[in-house]
Amino acid sequence: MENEKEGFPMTALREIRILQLLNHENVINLVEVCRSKERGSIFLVFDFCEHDLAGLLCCEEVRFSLQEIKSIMQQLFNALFFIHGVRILNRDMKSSNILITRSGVLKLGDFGLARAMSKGQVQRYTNRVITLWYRPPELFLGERNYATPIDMWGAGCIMCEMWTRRPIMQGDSEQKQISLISNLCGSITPEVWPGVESLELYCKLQLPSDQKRRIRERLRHYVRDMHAIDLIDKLLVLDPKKRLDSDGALNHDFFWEDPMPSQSDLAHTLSKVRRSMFVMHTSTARPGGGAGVPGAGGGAVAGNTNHFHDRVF
Amino acid sequence: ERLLCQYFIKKLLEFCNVFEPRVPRSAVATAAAYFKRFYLNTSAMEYSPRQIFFCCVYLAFKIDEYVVSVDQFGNTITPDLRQDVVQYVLSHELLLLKRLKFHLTIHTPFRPMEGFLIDIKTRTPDIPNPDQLR
Repeated sequence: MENEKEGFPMTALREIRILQLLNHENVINLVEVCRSKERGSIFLVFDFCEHDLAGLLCCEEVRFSLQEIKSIMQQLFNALFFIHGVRILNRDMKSSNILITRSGVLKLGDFGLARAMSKGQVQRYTNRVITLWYRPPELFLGERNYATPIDMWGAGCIMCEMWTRRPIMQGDSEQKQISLISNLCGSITPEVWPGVESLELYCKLQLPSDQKRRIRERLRHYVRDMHAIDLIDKLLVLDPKKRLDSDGALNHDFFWEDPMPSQSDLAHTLSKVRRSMFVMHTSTARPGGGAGVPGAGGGAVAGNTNHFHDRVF
Repeated sequence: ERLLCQYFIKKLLEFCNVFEPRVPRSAVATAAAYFKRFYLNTSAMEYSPRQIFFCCVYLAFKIDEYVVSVDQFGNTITPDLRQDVVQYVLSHELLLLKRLKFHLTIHTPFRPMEGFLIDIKTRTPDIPNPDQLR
């Protein structure tokens, strides 16, 4: 707080305002804003959630059945449908920001990078958002007038993680990440993505050529359900205009075929988990949950520790 | 005391009118609302409205996504006061936030108004120039 030149940081103001606007079962609820006496830091107090998705996936003992995966994904898309409906971008989708309570209710958390979209005019948002591993291709290519599809890409990555149990594309630099994306989703060319050549960095970045789209083959080892593969395939589409939106995802056959999504099963599985599963507790496999990514993780509220204080139940 | 506050709201509006570059109307309305709310449970004897209104304006700009840096903000103020005001704004921002109880969203009529104008444009093409109504 002391070293903020512009006074109270804008991102924090945005976060508080956006959280107050959002009131939905699957979005984290801001209980109160407190101020510490001695150092002038601000604390945001949220509902208490026992687990986060990244922690649960790290933990070997927790096994999700298909119904449970469906339930988690359905709640995630519900949350996205809601926030996109009120024209807010999360801009920081990742599994450690997906919180799950003991009763199996999913809460989308961390709106530290979120912002409201304004209609109509061309915007110049920063493209240094979203943790590298979940960042969609258009941001690498310098798109600054992006919209809701950026969150859908993240949702697709998270959905893959439900089976692979770890982030699917773990690049350590932008260049590495984009080649990983091409490796999985095929080369980025004007044929699959009309208009890509007009993006700022299209000519500047080295893009791997002659890569075929391999999502379906690659996932076949992990995912048995055909509808699941189909949904992932539609979410991880290179061209943001062709990517499925949250409404489309909710209407996808995946959620409407047997076995149907079941929240009670999820609650049952989670009731067996004794410890609270957070990446910061359990993390050995992941380096800090990807927090060291330049421009994304550090951009969150500086000096403000917004973590999960217990709430009196 | 109420008169004093009303006077400073007028001041606030004047300040926003001379501000360069031009301020969106919704930001001005937000600032005025913050100012009024602040003095709902604070006495004008406690904090000088003269200073607080700068705080309100600056905060409203931030909330309204109207990006202005502190230095730019200071440029509109007369040079001999500039330093003090900027200092004051930065140090009292937290206090303002707290007194507002972090209720930052102000529903101004400007956005619905825009929507209404768009409605008029699409549904009644025979009105010659809806923009004039503004």
